[in-house]
Amino acid sequence: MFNPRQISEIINDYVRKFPEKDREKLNLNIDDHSLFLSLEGDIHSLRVINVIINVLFKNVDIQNSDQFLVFDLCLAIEETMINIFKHSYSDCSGKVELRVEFQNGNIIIEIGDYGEKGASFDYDDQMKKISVNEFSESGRGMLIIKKTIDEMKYSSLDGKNTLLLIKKWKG
Amino acid sequence: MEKMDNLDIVQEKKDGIHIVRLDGVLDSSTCMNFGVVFNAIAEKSELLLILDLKKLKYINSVGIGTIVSNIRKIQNADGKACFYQVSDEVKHVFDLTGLSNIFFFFDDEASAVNFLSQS
Repeated sequence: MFNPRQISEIINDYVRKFPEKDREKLNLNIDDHSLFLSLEGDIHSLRVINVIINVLFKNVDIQNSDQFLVFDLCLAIEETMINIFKHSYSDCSGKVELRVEFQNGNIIIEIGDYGEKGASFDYDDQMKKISVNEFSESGRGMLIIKKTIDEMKYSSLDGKNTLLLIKKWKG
Repeated sequence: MEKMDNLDIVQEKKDGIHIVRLDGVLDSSTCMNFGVVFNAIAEKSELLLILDLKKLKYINSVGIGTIVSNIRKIQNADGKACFYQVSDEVKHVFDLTGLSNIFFFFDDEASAVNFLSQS
C-alpha cells in the first residue's frame, strides 16, 4: 500500500519544481510507513504542503467508497495549518511539522507547531462564532476538520503543540 | 488537485445581473485578491449576483468566509445572490460547513437568472 521508494521519487520530482525559496524552508523525510515534513513559513507556504500531501494520498492505495476521501484528508490538514498560522503564531508565521502514517486501516496525521499553547485549537470558540452568526466570516475551519476526520486529539508538551487526526479508511 | 494554480476572476453583466466567473482555486493565497474584487462588487445596493463556480476546483474555509461575508453584505443592501454550476468538490465544502442550506445553487444559468428576477 505504501511504497516508500516510489512515493519518495514521485514527491521529490514535484519538490524539485518548487521555487528555491520554498525548497530551502522544507525538510522532507519518507520512511517505511510514514512521511514527515517540517517547514518554516506562513499561510502562503500551504501550497507547498498541499502539493506534497495531494501527491502522497493519490499514490497510496487508500481508495474506498468515499469519493471525497483524499480531498477531505487534504482539506483537514490545510484547515489545521490555517488555524496554526492564523492563531498560534502572533506574526502569522513559524514552524509547522506534519507526519502522515499508514497503519492497520487508519491514517494517522500529526500536525505540530511551536506557537501559543491552545490557540490554534479552540473548537468551542469557533463553533460559537457560527452559532451566533451563520454569516460569520470565520470559524468554519474547525468544523471542516471535525466533519472530515474520525478522531482528533490536541496536546501540548515542552513547547510543542500537536493535533492528532485519525481517519479510518478501510470501508 | 496538485493545486499551485491561481484564480482568474471574470466579470460580466447580463440583463441587469452581475455574473462573476471563477476559474482556479480559492485558497489562502488567492483569497486576498478575490476579497478585494468581491468587496468592490458587493458595495452596490440591490445587486443581483450570480457566482459561476463551474471552473472553481478548490475552496477552503478562508475562501468560504470571503464569499459568506460578501453575500451577507449584498443581502443587507437588498440584493440577491446565488451559485451556478458548482463542482462536486466545492459543493462538498459548502455541505461540510452547513452553508448549502442557506444559499441557493442552480445547475444552469437560466434557472439562476429566473431566481434572481423574482421579486
